[in-house]
Amino acid sequence: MDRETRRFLEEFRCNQATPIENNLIDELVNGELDRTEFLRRGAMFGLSVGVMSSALALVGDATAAPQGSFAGAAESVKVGGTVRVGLAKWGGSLEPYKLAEAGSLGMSGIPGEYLTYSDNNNQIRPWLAASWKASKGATVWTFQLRKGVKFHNGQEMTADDVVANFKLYTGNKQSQALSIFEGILGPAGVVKKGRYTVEFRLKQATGAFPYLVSQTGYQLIIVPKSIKPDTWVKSGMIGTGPFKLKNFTEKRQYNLVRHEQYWGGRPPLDGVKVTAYETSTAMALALRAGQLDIVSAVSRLEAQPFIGNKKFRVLTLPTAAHRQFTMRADDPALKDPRVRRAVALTINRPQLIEGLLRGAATLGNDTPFWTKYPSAASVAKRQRNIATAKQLLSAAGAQDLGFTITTHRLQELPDYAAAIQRYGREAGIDIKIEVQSDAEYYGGGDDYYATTPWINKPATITEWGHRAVPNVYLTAAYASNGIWNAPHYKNAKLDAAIKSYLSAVDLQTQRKYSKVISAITQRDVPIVTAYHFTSVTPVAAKVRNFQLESINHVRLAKTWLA
Amino acid sequence: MLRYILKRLGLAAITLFLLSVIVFGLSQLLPGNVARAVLGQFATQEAMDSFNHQVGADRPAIVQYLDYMRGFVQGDLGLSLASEAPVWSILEPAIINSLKLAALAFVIVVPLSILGGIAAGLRADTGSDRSITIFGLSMSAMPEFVTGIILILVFTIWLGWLPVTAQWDEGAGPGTQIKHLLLPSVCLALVLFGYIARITRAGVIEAVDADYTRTAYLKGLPTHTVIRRHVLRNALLPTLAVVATQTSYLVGGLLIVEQLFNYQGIGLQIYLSAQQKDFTVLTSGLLLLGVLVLIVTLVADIVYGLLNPRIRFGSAE
Amino acid sequence: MSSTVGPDAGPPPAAAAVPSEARTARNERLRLLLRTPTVLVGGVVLLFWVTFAILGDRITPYDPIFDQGQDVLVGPSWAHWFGTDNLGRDVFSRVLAGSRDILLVAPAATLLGTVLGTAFGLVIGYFRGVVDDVISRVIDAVLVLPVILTGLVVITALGRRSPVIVTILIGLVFAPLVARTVRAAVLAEGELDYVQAARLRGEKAPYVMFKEILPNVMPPIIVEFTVRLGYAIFAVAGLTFIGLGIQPPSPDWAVQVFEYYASIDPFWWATLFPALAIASLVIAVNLVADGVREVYER
Repeated sequence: MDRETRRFLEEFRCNQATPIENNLIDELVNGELDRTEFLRRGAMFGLSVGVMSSALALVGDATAAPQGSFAGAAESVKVGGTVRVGLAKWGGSLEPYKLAEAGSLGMSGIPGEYLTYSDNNNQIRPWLAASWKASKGATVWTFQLRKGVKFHNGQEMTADDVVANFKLYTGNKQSQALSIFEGILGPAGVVKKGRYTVEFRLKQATGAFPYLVSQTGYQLIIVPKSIKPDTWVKSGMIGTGPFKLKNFTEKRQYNLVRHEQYWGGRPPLDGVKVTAYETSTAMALALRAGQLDIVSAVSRLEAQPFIGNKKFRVLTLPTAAHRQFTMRADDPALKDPRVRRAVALTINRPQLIEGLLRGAATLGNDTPFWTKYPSAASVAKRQRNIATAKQLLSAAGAQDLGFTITTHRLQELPDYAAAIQRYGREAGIDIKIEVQSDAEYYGGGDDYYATTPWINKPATITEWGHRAVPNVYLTAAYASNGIWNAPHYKNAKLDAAIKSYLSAVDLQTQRKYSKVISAITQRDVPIVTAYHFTSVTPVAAKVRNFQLESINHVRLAKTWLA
Repeated sequence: MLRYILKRLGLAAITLFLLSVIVFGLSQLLPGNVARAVLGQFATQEAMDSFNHQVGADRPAIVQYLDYMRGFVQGDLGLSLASEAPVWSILEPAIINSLKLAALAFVIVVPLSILGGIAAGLRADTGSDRSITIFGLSMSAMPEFVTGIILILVFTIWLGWLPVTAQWDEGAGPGTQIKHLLLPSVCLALVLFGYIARITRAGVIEAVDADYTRTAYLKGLPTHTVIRRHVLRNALLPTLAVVATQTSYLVGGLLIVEQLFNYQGIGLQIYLSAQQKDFTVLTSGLLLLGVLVLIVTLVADIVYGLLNPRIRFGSAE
Repeated sequence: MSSTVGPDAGPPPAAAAVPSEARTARNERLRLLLRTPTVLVGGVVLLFWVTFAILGDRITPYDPIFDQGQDVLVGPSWAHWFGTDNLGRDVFSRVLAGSRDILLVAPAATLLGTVLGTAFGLVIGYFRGVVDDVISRVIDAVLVLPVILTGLVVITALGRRSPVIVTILIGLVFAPLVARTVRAAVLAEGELDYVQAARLRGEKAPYVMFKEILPNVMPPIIVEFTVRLGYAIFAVAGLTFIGLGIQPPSPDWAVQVFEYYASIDPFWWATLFPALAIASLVIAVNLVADGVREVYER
């Protein structure tokens, strides 16, 4: 390593680096972090490419840090053409702060963009924010915005826009983003510090804040502050994205054209035609018939005929999306943790993944941590063990256990319940199944949280979407006062571990608390997580430089048609 | 004849009024929160209260009904609760779409099934009769979602002759539109074929046996004239009656087919608004559908009256 | 749709006299029915499904719910004649066991509709006048909307999807149709002598309606019942398909079609066989209904 680089690094470490950043470099030097992890964490905390490669050089790694997220491929890109995209029909609004459905978030996410990007390796990258720094123990985050980003109407994106947007997202009573920032950030904490500088003052230390403002918080689109709430669609869905809205037929078809002044470089495609489909069946059929090029998501079964078909490529992407099979810790039949653990032990997870899910899933071990989360400590794999299950049941005096699983009619949920029913039978457990309509399952009376079935029935199975970090899972489903804590499981030790995990800034500490949390959840099993979904989606073979997104966004900035 | 028409109009008006009360009552049955359905399962209590107040869903039912009817009569259907768009802008294209599909299905099925029914009736109890009847019976017994997907597989995926969804681009000409609507229309035609053919067949058999037919033969008229003049007209009467009763299904009962072909018809639109507890769209959708069906039935009744000499020349009804 | 109830429908049962004549007429009809080939075919198929509905999983080759094997979504083979589904369950067994729910709901709904409709039809046909006008208009109003849509809105409104609700709903929707037919028949009967005689005797209205008129309008009611049954099966299948009524993982046919129709290519067996089962039941009922109608309208 040459003297220049060493001097540069030392200068940085003495004069500029925050304690967090220094700590990170220390961990790298001490061998506690490998290269990939260092890059991931470094990006998250806003270390510049230069600093990161210098640090890596310090430990003898000569390869440069990876480029930004939007670099195009090296092959010869063909410019031109309109790509036809299919999305699931949505019933609600396209207004960013109201986004709540897969179809609408996909639609708004084409002309709209976000501050940061959580990529498919769970690495956080700059997007509309060029860099960021944490200080005061991760309670104050300062974001530097990218300069020269032009909205579709020609205006430049500045801190004024970001501040106005985030005040709305964290403050408006109908904002769907409130759950992301619950107890973490309020409108008063969003402050402009300069033309391109925004400061977020958090109510509690959050090491993963940049993840929270990434595209996985799909409401957080940056729009011009001059656009009043509820007028975004009418005024043309103005954003910073590679394509801008030309015309549309409400909820049916949207035509977009290239945004010539796109900050990431001129997009190869001329335009995008988006069609909303009533059912994924109709959408899959349209793709097969060659009337679509890209679809947002189809079921694993619907993807079957595309496998091996030369006209299509089938893309796969493991995600953290999962089903929570909850058992109430205060239900007379289920209150003994040995009983719940017994139920968890009857499930044949590999068989489920191979059979029911046709291989499109990764193993779940009854913890909130998806194995691909960097902060996930390694845990014992859950194996099926009927003998142990029976022992646990008799130890708990529950040899004739019987209970009802309540779920709703979505994708494979009823069949998953049927499989659990059959597995339980082998240990002598009598399980009944109740399948409700969506409206009933998610409906509720005046006191919603006390009456809605999905949070209150003795045993439920509910679908949870992908999150880049497990924060929401922890605070909403596992914490004692979590608003979506269906098992009604209250454990002070778990709460303490969760709190420590959330405020931890370095990987070591996160892993330590992750291990504590996992030990508790594997022992007491408030929630059974048997698998995490792998998205399997076909795309027309002529579409190049396109990859799946973990929450069904469709990103087309560098996509081209062969 | 005029009295007949007026009486029919009057009855239709009363029926419409009753329908509005029933429909409104139905939509008020939707329990719980409009807000919950629209804002989603993860919305907060505050968000929901704010929304409910904003759209006036927290007022008493009678007030909402009167308000609504006043608007309906004036042509103002209000705004959708789920999106902020005017109800009419959501329903109008849906109704037009449903009418187009129904019209095309009608045009396909009526001539074919009448011809089939006549052929079967004239050759009653022979092999051809049996085949036609059994074909019709089997097709109408198969659920339309199954025949639909088989049609799609064969004609769009494997043969590639027709478009897979019934959705065309803005400004497409009638030719393209028909091409897109062909498969769903055939799907519907298959369901109705057996039903209409059977009624026609029964009418033909009855007419062939009737006195006036025998008289016509004895008079020396050729077969096809006999058929055209006597048998046909009398076979058409019950057919018309039956077709009129199928209107509500043809226009509003197709939501499964509409889903499959990604076609924005009124049936599907009503289904969606029921799911989202979008009162305004749901109520207006049901009422407009009712108006449509009543109009078609009225027209069918009038044509029936014209064809049926007993009514045309006035006798107790 | 009008019945030809007239002098040749059998002797008027005035004061419950001559029961043997009525019985002979009924036996005669039954014998005729059993000799009609279409009725026989339909009847056999119906009997087949009813048997399996009752005996269910006791006589199927595999357990339709719990035999979840390793071979997932495998096509028809010697081990599994109709192939397997996505939990490795035998489709043949599931098709056999799937008749139970629909054979409970559809006839129950039809019965409910027929009973209610008959009661209404009797009342409005007998009393005529204002009662007739008002109730007929309400019936017209209800019938304007298609069954499936009304059903769907109500069930969505109530939020619950149990088969009981579907049964009641279809029964309520069918009642007006039956009422219309019965009304027409009762109007015709009302002109006849024995009704006048009963009234002159001073009999109360319910007596006249149920003891005098009703037995004479049974034929069209029976015909109506068998016809409605076919529609009921269709309606139940349709409603189940869109998610109302019976739910997965029941082996009910419409539920199976719903689960697999999207992947009919390449997993055609999981959809086709349940669909054919539905069709076979509808056709069987229609064949029997045809036979019944012919015999009663002779």
